[in-house]
Amino acid sequence: MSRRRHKKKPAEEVQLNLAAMLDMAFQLLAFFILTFRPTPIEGHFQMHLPLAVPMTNVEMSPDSSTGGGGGSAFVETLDIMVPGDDNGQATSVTVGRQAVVLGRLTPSSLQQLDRHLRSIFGLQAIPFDRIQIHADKRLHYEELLKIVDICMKQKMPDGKPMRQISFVEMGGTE
Amino acid sequence: MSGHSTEGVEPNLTPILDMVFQLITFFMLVINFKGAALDLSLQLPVLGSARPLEYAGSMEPLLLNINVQGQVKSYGKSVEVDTFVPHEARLVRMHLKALGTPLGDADELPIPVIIRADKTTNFEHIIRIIRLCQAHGYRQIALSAMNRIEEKQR
Repeated sequence: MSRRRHKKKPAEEVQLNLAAMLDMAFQLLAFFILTFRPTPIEGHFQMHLPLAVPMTNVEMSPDSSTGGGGGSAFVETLDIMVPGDDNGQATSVTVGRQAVVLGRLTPSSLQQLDRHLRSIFGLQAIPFDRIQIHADKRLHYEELLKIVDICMKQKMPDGKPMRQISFVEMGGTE
Repeated sequence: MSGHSTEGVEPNLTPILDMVFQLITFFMLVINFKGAALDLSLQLPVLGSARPLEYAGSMEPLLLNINVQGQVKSYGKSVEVDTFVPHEARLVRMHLKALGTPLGDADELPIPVIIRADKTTNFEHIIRIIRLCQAHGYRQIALSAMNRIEEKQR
């Protein structure tokens, strides 16, 4: 048998053609850069909206909402009236029958509203379980959220935060 | 003098490829397709006490963008809200029925509605949409606002 002589090939360096891969990678990169939109950091006021009820169960006397304790025990819905002007700004805030804020909503007037609501919700004798906001149809969303913000800070007698908030258009029919 | 080599000069593409892949990885990680549902032209009110949505359900919340004129947009398209909301509610009910947990007509839908409105949108537009949602079984409503931190960044 004849012995075959294998000629040793010189060791060649294997090189991958990276240009095609780079093209594809750049295309992917371009897609991601063009479609990239950083989402804004948003928060929510999450609430459970029961159906609105007519104002038949409001039995609060004017001094009961100031913490006097003269309210009826079967009051469940606390009504807040927020009339507005042509600019969409709130002109006053009335809780029950008592005007708590007169004029525009400012940080100090909102604090006043917060204190007032706290005093109402602090009364164990008045078991409010929901708030109904009667807002002017011209009222801006921003103004509405200021009121909602204050309402959601309130705690019910069992310590749970107020989440049952309903909305009614002022002067409208429900 | 020695003769010059006739071989072509090939740049080393490995580092650039590494960098490009790292950039692609970055963008893949931060991409958020939910952002397409948001109408970024709306100016939301800024309230620091707004909190992230507490919802762990498998179905997507119904997101409604309301502009100053009261027009509703969803995924960048204007929708007729009087037909859109009932349609979405019907789809949810069908989906739940298919999953074996059918809901009655009066039952509450287990999905929140996220309302993103411009800060100057009138209440009459918002209450109209809230009523419509309530009428079709949606009870969980989330009103959107910007956090203060985001406002500072702008």
